[in-house]
Amino acid sequence: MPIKMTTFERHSVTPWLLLAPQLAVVAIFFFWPAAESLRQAFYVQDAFGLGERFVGLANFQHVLSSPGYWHAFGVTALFSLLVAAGAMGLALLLAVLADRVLHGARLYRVLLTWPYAVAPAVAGLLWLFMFDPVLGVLTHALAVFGVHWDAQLDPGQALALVVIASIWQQMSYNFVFFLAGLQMIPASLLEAAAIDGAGPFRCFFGITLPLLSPTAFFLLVMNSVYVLFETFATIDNTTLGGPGGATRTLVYKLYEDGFVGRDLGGSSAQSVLLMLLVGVLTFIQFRYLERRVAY
Amino acid sequence: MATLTCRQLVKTYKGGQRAVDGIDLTLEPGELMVVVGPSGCGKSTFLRMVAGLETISDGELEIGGRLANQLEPAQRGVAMVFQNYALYPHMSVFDNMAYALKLQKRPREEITRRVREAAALLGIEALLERRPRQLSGGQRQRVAMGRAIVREPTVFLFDEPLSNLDAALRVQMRLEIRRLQQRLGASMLYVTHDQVEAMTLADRLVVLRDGRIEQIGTPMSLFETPASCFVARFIGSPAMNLLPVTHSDGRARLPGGLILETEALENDARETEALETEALETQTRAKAEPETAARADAKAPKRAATLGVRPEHLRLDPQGEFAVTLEMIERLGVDALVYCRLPGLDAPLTARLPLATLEAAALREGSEIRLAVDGPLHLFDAEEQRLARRARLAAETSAAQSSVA
Repeated sequence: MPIKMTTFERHSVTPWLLLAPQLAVVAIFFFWPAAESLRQAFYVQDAFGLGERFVGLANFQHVLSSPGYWHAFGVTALFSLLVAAGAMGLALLLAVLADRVLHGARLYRVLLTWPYAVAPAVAGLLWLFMFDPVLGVLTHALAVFGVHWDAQLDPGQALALVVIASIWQQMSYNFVFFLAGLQMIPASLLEAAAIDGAGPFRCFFGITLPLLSPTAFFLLVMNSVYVLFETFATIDNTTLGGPGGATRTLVYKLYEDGFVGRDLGGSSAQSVLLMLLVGVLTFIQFRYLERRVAY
Repeated sequence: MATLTCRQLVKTYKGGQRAVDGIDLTLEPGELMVVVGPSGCGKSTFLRMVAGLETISDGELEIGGRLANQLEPAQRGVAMVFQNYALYPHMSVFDNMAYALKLQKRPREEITRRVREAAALLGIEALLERRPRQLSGGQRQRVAMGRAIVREPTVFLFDEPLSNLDAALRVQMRLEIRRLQQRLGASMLYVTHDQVEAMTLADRLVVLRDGRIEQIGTPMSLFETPASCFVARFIGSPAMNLLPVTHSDGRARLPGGLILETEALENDARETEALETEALETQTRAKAEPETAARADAKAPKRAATLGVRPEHLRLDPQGEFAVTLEMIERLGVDALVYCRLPGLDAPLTARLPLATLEAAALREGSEIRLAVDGPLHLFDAEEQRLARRARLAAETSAAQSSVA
């Protein structure tokens, strides 16, 4: 340690120089906008951005009292719940299956992680085409079962479309963590359980699942954050928040209000609330993980 | 009725590799049998086959008089203590021990009673509410044993249970396992690679090599009459000295010129017969031309063999047969290990000598000393199998040297 210290003391400029590009990126694209939106949350701007007026907490008051915001909040909560449940359930199932595969295991694992490499916007388009009311492969398949599919008209189907696209994406991320979590469980634990008389299901619910719970909780938070932010591109490429606000999540409403409706103050206030929400989630996560991480 | 019987137990992996290659053994009730061997000898695979964690490729496994080949692990009436203890980290010590009974849907009172009894036996009553990660290595070991005891199994299986503990704790737990086994009258199959553990614990010892049984017997019988070089090397610490010799007409000749006379091993019929014939011929020849006996000896068919002598059976003696150079001394307290070199031999010769003798003779590295054999010699044939149980030094070193010249 002392050696390192002296090295840095003698070359005090070099580390900063090396950090500079990254710091610049973070400052320009993160700290500056964040600070700006924090400031703007307390101002009202005119539509052309030529003047602004300090209004205190009026923006927050307005946002929190508008039914549109709470509707978006509800949509986001439902969206989060569905994506988290779907993506985690599916990922756990696939991870358990992949963990048992002996031959070609690497291939399966790579294939199952691919969807995460697809940009959310592209993922949205992919599912949009498949569920297109006229051309969609899946639309025709559903028609065979007598389901009339039109996500542009049916609010429930619109939500289902973005939920499916998001699950498909997020499933890969969850899969990687669940698989790693499964492989961390010593084989001897499951063998001991087998000798103790636990069948495969008992073994899974009695031993494997409890031991995966820290992973699962981490993923729950990560999935919620994903839904809060990353799904923007998916929604923007498919349903545009519609029909009738059925897929207008908090982040999409923020974008609509700010960049389409030019209500910069109101949208800034929403982004501050969103930041607080993520802060709370992160806080809970760290508190929980600190307590449970050391099995 | 035997507790556990194995008949030609075989484990074959894909590709034909045989991890366990025809094991026959019988575990008597109340017996502690230790399976010992170097890593990769198949001892763990064998234990896992008994536990039901590995399928049995061929042969028969009987536990408590029932054919167990196809039984699920839980139905075999075995309990296993794992090397890493395999305690369930999310359960308390009590729940760990109670898990099997809960799965059997035993009444709550019975579960509590049996867990408490086992805990009392192991002195871990105070730990029942704790989680495994709050326990020390020795405590975890006890809980793992407790979990096995609670199930009242037909056979206890131990898979290197002490190898994660430090040396002092290992000795303590070794004694505790032995005491527990005697108290419960339990039948145990215990796998280890540690020969000291094996020697001290076992009623009977099984030495495994490449998936086959090399020798079965009491620890002392294996120590005194190892069936092969492998067993001789493995049992006893420090290991037996094994010296390459040529063997003909009942004599073993060391590269240095020393000649040892050997008696035939009774239970090796083939070798005994061959040996007797040879000995007879030599005797006749020796009688006919005593002065050329040494030369005839040199012409007789020679076979490579290995001579074994334990370090404990060598003593310092100015008239000793082995003239050696002392290379290194390791002081163990009362005794010292003396590593010597025989002229003309690559293999070192190790002797265990009382430290006092060493000090009295003022020996140090580089000293030229003589060692005498003061105990049994072991002779193994070219296939490293036991040949003669006792070898007696016969010819004088001088005579041997003259024959070499």
